[in-house]
Amino acid sequence: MQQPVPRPTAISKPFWDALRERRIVVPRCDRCGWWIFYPRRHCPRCCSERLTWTAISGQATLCSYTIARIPTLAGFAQPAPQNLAIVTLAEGFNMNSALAGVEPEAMRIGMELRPVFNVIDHTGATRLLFTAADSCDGDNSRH
Amino acid sequence: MGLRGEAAIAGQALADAGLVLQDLDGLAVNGAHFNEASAFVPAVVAEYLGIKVSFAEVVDLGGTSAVAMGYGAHSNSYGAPEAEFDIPYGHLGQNTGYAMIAQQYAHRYGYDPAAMARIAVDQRSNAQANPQALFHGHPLTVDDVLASKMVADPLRLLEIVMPVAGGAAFIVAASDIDRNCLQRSVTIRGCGEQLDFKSPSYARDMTVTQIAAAARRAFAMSGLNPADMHMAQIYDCYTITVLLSLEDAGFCAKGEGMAFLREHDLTWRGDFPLNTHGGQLSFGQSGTAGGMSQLIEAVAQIRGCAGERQLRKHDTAFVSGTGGVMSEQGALVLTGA
Repeated sequence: MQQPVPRPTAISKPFWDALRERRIVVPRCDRCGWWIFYPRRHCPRCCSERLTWTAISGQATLCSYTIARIPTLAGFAQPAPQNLAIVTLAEGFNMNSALAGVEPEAMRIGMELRPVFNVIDHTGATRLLFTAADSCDGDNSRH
Repeated sequence: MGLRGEAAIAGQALADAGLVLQDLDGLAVNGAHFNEASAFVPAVVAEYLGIKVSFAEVVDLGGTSAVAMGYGAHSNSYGAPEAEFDIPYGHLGQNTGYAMIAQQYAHRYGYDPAAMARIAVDQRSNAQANPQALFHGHPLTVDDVLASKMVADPLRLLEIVMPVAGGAAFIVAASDIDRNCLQRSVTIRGCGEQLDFKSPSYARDMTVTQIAAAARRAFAMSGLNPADMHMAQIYDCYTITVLLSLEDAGFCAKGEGMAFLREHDLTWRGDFPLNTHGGQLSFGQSGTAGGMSQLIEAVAQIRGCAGERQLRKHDTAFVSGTGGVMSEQGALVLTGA
């Protein structure tokens, strides 16, 4: 069974499109500077609708994680065991993701992470995963 | 269970309250979809039951619906805005969300699997004194819990609620209503409700739940404190839900939940009676009616009709409800008349 493919909306399309180019962009409020994730049309802090898609490095730390011993969907059965992660980007906001190339025993809350652009189908649909900042592989590998 | 089952439960609640159908003038049903109906739900239910009401609503607060009237979690299909950033990464269902809260808690304050297992074990002891509980006749030990399959670290199978078929109903009335009921009245002395996020991923601090604000409001309204409670009927989809609720409702300080569990006997015979019907973990979670079992148990205990598991001191109760992944929280303080 296939993994679910991201389904961009008119609001989120720039985020998913940028991942295909190995870039990360997130809307930021022009008025108050707030980072808006997941993407919306308004700033949930000051309600301004003047937002700008802004590039970030993807540098992050691990906020929390778990190992799903029963896959949450058949498509996530491999590689086993499935992990799920919540990461805190350097800019201060959280994102759901998963870790690539990190063994469960090596996962530590607070560990430094860097982005992995994970291409999941022949059209180039890409997910944003993370790996240990000091790891030298992981990029574009199959997950 | 279908509308026929709901009508039967409504009949039981009315008989228990000493009321008849025609006494009802309001209707609250839970879930955006209610059995056969997906739109105009209150009218469908009112027509089927045969009641005429001047107030009707659908409450969609998952497991806290019972407390808000008096499920779910992460979205499992595309459509909701946050689901777009859950589904591609496998963030589906409830287990993993609660597990990640537990991991964060463990990182911050430490984690004692045996102490957590005691929640499930003591509640199972309570279920042995409740013939209505699904796990009546099936006692459990801490070793059983620790030996059960790891589902999503650190949550094991026997720390996770079992869905069952069932339903529940209760009636809320003004205190001066004329009725033919000899049972002790139970008064809602305080209530609180608080929502912030849908997914704990976006919580400011996922170890501090909205139960804190809901319970604070309920206790303030009642003029009572956690120490005044004779029982706690706390929503228990997972053991971690109970731990966080105990701390945030003020039964112990933040980060001291593990010690609290080690120091107290949580059974109906013990010094801190918790989920005396067995909790949903041992009674069974009948969909969004699951949280109502906590409320109904509080009423049964306060009235003094809880049978073998009846508490000796039973005048005050704290009841909590949880919907989603610690997303929609409610609290009640109940007292006997």
